[in-house]
Amino acid sequence: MEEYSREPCPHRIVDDCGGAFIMGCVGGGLFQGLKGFRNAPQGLGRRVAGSVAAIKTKSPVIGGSFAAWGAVFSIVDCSLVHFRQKEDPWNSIVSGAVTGGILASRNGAAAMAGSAIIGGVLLSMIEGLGIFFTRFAAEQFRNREPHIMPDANEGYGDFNSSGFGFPGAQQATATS
Amino acid sequence: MSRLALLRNLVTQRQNLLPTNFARLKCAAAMHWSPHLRQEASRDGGGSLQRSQDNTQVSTDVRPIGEKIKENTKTASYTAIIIAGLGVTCVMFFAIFRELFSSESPNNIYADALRRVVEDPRVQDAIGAPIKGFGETSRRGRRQHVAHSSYERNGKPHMRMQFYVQGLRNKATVQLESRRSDSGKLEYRYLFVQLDHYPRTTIILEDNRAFDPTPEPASAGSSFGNLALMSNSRDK
Repeated sequence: MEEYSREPCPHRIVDDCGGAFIMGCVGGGLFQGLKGFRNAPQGLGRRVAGSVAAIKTKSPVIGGSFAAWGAVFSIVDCSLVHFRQKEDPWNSIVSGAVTGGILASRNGAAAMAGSAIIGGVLLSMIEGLGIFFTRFAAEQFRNREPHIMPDANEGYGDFNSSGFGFPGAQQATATS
Repeated sequence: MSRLALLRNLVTQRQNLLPTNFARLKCAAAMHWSPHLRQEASRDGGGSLQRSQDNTQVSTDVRPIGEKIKENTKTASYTAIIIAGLGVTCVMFFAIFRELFSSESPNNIYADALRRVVEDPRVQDAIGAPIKGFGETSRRGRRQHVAHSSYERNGKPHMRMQFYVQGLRNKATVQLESRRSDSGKLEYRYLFVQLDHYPRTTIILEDNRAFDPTPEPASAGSSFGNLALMSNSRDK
């Protein structure tokens, strides 16, 4: 079924833009709801009305900002994948820095540099967190000693039938 | 009888003398007291000056002890929260720096192997010239994570790894196992490129399994299933 799997990169831009918009709307809605609730005058009805008003006012703006960030990030990431012909954590870090710089370009070069550094550091932390959790989750399934194949040293003819460690004929779905 | 009369007279005279003496004592006390009071007032003036000087040296903290305990507890709690945040940040930065800059990290082994695979003319002929390398596809379409598992055999750290390369005509799975040689450098135990579609052949870039050291007889008995090797584990 891998003939029907498509290249992720051009479609991922739209996916990431939409996902970032929803993330910004929901997260921003939560924060602005709390802020509106606290800033409203006394009375539960008035507080709920203030919360709803704040959500309706601020949530689309925050969602738009997140969508812009996600779209620019994915565009830069896919461009790096295309030019480097390789996917690794460096793409994310450089994309974060470039996105921070691009989105602050109206404020001058100094603000661009600052935002680029902030974007790079932020994506470094996100990548570090992902790598840390991957290692931590994988520790539960750790092998002490892999399978020793005494007949693997002689005969190079057909590796699929020699009990090779990874099944080469199929695309492996490793737990990551 | 005359002696009794004399005693009576003496007693009466003393009783008469006492009020007079008491009044005299009162006057004397009053006369002595006013200069004493004045001296006390002057001393109080000097004392107040000394006390004001002492106030600069003595602590001006007049709060009760409960307030101090509460404030110190609050400060300690905030400091603990700040230290916890810094600890989490250091853990994240340590993970990313070890992944990117350590020579034995999976990312660097993957980069070296990918460079070698891409530059090999047989692989270029088999799957097409612009070759792209990537790892496992996640749910959101990012393919940065490379499947790897590290273990130790004969006292040396090994790492098995699998990633994918895609060219214009075909797609291949790269299987490799790296280990540390006697001189301390990382070398490949094997490095294979297996084509995924027609023709399903395997391009052998490096195969050093013939130079494996002889395993100990104790470890030869233990075996695991093949599927268990697909799990990823922490580097030793």
